[in-house]
Amino acid sequence: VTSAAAPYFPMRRTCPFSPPPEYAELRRTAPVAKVSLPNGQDAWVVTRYDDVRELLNDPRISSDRSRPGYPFLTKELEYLREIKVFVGMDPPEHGPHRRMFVPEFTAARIRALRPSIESYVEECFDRMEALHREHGVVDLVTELALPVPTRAIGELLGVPPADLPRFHALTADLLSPGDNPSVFKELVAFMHSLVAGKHADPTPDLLGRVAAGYVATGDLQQHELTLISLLLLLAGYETTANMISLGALLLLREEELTAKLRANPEFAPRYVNEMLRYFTVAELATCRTALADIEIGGVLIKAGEGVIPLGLAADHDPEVFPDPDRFDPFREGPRHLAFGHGPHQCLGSHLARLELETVFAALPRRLPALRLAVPLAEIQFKPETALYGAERLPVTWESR
Amino acid sequence: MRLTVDTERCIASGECVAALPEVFRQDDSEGYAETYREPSDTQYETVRRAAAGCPVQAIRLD
Repeated sequence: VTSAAAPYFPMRRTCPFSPPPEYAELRRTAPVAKVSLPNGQDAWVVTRYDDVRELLNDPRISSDRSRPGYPFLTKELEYLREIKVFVGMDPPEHGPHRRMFVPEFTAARIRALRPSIESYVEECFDRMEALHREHGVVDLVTELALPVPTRAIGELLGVPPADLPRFHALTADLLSPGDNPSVFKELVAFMHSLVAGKHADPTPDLLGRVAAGYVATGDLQQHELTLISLLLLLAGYETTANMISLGALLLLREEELTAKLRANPEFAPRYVNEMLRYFTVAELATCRTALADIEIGGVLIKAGEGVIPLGLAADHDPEVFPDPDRFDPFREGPRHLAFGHGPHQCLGSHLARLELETVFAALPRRLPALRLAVPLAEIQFKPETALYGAERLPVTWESR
Repeated sequence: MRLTVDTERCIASGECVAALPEVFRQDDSEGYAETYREPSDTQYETVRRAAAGCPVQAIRLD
């Protein structure tokens, strides 16, 4: 295989409701295929469910961003080469670092956040109704998709209530840095002072407990905890926000299923699980490098080469999910790979599910006549090198 | 059927607990999976799926 013949990657979704059209062709004809990245480097993409699962759990692939073959998809992401936190570590370093945060993300710990997230989601709908009375049109991204995960992460980390407005303002600016070019610096300063405060006075929240348990003992540096808190924000914020905007768009298309959800809000976990499979928004977060020669799908990946197991392609593999482009909350099948697979599987999956289940149990009840305020063709989607999602989602409804 | 969780491999994803809370739970302090009840014969299929769904294949069925 010569690099001149390798197709360009990342490939783009041409419709918000289906994977890039090339994925199906690759899965059929070249399930492990060489591609050419924007920086000119080559890498392998993997499109079959079984192969993606096998690779993500293979000890011979590395998450270490500082390895020369690591497939970066944009120049902006290359700063990660220098950043050493658990998402970019391999064994034996990875386990002990991840373990510091694991107890903060268990299903039981996350369940404790439910009442406050539920009441915050109702507040968001109240505000949307007020804005609708005033303007007629509301941007669902600004008023629901972004604030819900921001608030959830703020509560989890332990942002004091007085600092929440500033936290919300900074995270909102993060996605449109044109409005505030120094936002990243300001956010780092915010987290730095938050972590310093927790170190001085550990409160019963994630940062307080980790500061008391690991920073105080010298196992973790204060600046490392600052970096990790930024990472947790970046990992948990835009991903969930995109799922909220795309999920809302999907419910607008699926009228019958939405009516069913309105009548049976207890089905929300099934709907959310299928939305996660359907969109797999963070599939480009699982880039890896081969540590040894790996034979898979009839192809030999050589040590040092970049590998991108495509979760979205896997989650639309018709061998595993029949009629994969159909949204069916009642399908039975194996676990989807929207949260990844293997030792680096998303730490925050229970939190993401809690937020999404709360939003989608409430949405059909709170806004039963919801519709887009502009034609679908006018909705702008994010470029494929970032997480997939809608930039804005102007919605409206007839008042009852 | 013998069911075991390899706690060295477990990453506390909680996937098995979500699949079958009648058999699996996450320990309170660290979040690692453990079994606290023997699965009944009718739960065999769910146990098998929980094992297959574990992101690090830490669940063994013998």
